[in-house]
Amino acid sequence: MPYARAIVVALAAIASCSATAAARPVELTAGFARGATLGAATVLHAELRVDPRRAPATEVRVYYPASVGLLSSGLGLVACSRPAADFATVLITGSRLGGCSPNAVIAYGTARANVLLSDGQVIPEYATVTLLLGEVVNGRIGLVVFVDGVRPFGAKLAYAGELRRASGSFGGALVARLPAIPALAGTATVALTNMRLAIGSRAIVYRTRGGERYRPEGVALPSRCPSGGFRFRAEVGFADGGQAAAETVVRCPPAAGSP
Amino acid sequence: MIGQGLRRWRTTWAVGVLVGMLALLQAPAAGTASPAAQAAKRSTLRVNATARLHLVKKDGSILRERGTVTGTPAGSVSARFNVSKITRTTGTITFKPYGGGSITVTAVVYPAGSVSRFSGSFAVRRGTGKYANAVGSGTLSGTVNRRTWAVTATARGTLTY
Repeated sequence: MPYARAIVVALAAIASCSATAAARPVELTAGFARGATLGAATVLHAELRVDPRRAPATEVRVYYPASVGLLSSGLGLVACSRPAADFATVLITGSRLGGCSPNAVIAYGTARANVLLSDGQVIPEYATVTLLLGEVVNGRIGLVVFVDGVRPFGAKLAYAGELRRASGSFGGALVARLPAIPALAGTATVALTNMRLAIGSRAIVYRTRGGERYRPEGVALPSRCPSGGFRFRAEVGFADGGQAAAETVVRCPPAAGSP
Repeated sequence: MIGQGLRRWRTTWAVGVLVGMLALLQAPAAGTASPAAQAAKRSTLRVNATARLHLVKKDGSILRERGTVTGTPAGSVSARFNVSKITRTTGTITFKPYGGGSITVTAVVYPAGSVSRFSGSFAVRRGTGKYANAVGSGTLSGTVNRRTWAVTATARGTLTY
């Protein structure tokens, strides 16, 4: 029953996206897991929708509030290290985690992209997304994004990113760079249209050194709500040099123990 | 008569002003002697201590920790870390050496090679007891267990009090 409800909610969300996607170049929605309470750890859901009529997105930045503890979560115990060549070629082979430790996973999600063939055909590709903590280089915390195509192509893509500092009420930004795929040059272009991430997803399972499995704590919510709620912002850079941004505010969940 | 009186008054006034100025000139000289004497009594401590802290409370991006310090100075420690900013963590750490008094320092640390290792610096912000006028600074480095948030940090520097 809960699954049926989740599917209905997901379908409704997808329907509402497709109805409004054309209205704005970028749209962002965010929310905490059902049952989230202030002062406790939770799952942070974020969904980014990009107008498919725009040029392909080349960089995505999602800013989150300073009061939301991403670094103070239990996520990303170790770093995923991939050779720089992977991020240059983008198209890689390998297992879902690309040889990285499951203890580096921060989020699971899904993505949808339009594959624009040179003959004008547009084929939507559905994929799963895994976001992992990357190496720390020059004090910057890296991110690794693995995109596993599900249908119809099923390619595996690797993108580099980083946790970038942010000003004002934002604590930082999750940044993913989405360069063109060199192997597809002249044949096809991949343009992201939708990405959903569950940061601190309950599907994430870590292992202790002793082999014990456990679910890491998700993002830590403060015990007091920030004024005006939790503000998130997405910025997208496009291949034609254009930029677009969108914001959303998540209302405060109840305090622990409140009715 | 009036002219003579005025002249005498002017002379007296001039002598008074001169004495006053001399007194003023003398005052700072006496004043500098006191801090110098105080400085002679001040001690400088070479800080080389290791703190082991455990999580007391997590509130969003704020971590409150407590623990013990071994080395110099040894004692207990409590800390409040703000990890809201990606590139740097700031903290206020209060040491309570076994001999009494307290030293509060502000710290700024950065990820060092991995998210579980950090390095940075600290500066004395205030003190109490015999550390009331403490000044000092130094470096911090350590590790953090990101499952339990247990922190081990080594501080090296100088403390003058």
